[in-house]
Amino acid sequence: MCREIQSADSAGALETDRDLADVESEHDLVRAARAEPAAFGHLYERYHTRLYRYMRTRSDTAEDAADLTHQVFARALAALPGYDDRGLPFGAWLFRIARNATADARRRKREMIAWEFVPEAMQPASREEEPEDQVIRRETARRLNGLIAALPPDKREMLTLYFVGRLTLREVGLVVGKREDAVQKQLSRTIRILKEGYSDG
Amino acid sequence: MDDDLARVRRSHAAILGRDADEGLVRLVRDLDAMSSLGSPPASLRNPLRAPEAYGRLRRTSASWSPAAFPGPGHRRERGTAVGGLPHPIQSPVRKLLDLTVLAAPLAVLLLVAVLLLRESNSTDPAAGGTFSPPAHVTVGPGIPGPAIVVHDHGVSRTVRPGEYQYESLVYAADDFLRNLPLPPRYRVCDCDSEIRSARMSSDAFELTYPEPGLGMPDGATYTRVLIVVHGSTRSDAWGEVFLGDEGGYKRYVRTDAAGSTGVLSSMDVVRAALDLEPLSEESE
Repeated sequence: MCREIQSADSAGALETDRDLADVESEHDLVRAARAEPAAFGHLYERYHTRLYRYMRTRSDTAEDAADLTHQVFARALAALPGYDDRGLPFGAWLFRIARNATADARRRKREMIAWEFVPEAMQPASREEEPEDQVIRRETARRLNGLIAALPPDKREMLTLYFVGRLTLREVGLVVGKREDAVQKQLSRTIRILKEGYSDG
Repeated sequence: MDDDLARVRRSHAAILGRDADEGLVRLVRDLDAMSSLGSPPASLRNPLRAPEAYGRLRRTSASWSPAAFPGPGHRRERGTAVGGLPHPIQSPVRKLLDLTVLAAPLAVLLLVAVLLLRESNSTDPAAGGTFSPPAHVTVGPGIPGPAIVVHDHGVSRTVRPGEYQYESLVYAADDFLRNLPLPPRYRVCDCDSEIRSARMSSDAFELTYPEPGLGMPDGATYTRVLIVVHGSTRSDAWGEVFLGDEGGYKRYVRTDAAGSTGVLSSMDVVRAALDLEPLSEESE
């Protein structure tokens, strides 16, 4: 699947296009970082916003999410020499580390929230946004949060990796251990389930 | 359908399918929009944000053989130095040359390594040595021994002015930090399993251990304790490095949200440690 490059947001441009050129470029970045760890910064720049947002859906607070994000990059940096990118893109590998890190954190901190897609606190209102629009946006978020929270964990996870992590279907599959076509079907089914509730709301 | 929805339909064609109605596309658009919200705090940094420190690290890894410090949790891939860095000594010829140049420091390091290994072997239950769990370890003046680095990701609070109680050193030391080529006198602690609290009063450190079988040798005493605490990404971001020495401690580094250096990262830890324990002439 090829997703379009989306417009930059306040955190900087999101890399969402997974075409061949990007993959090639990523191979180069990984190779460079393995040869010279200082080059790891390019990979960090490419992934840190997405990874942070993914972690934010797994954390009580923005601070926890940032701490976890930092830990994931530190682990990735340390493990990079052993990373073999044959068949496992760097992004999928990184999000695997992220999943493990969140599992570790959950074990340590039992009061972790179940799941919040995008907490309201994370949704700064645009300055130009009219009050009415703010209300609508928040209501939309509230409804979506509720619907997503009711999904089975595995479906929520795939949805998060795809939308928040901006991974391709193949990469999502590599992270969760499913085939690409299975991920596609499950995501397709999941959004249709969500739509039923969304329309009814 | 407007341009925005058409874009969403194209972008997510694989999961929307050909028969997606407008309601479904709008849902995906909203999901997409929600997922793009939220930015990492400015304090979130690349662990390698200090390239000059890394350069130093690389040089250091050549001088300080990782084998000289087989601390707990020490893991290393073949052919790499600690921290996952490509080992700077690769070929046998190069190795021999470097060994020649480094003969004197290596001899010193070897001696330290042997001493540390003896200490390690004698206190590792798995190795069959004797082991008595310490209740606590104090840092006192004039007592020889390695230094310890405590890396805290956890919660800390001020008990009263001038006294800090680190109650919840909740995370294990990062593998990254743990594998850093610190000088052999330093030992990175697994804060989660080895240290329950580190109490610093005006005149002493006291580290407390949670359970037997983990942690330091019985009654171990360290001449230096470097405690690194950083609320790495807190909104009131701050970081501190305390050096305990000669029966007391001092704050070595402090940064805060307004500080130009930002918060402490693992690299800051390294830098602080190396600055505190400058490489001796024979090891450079």
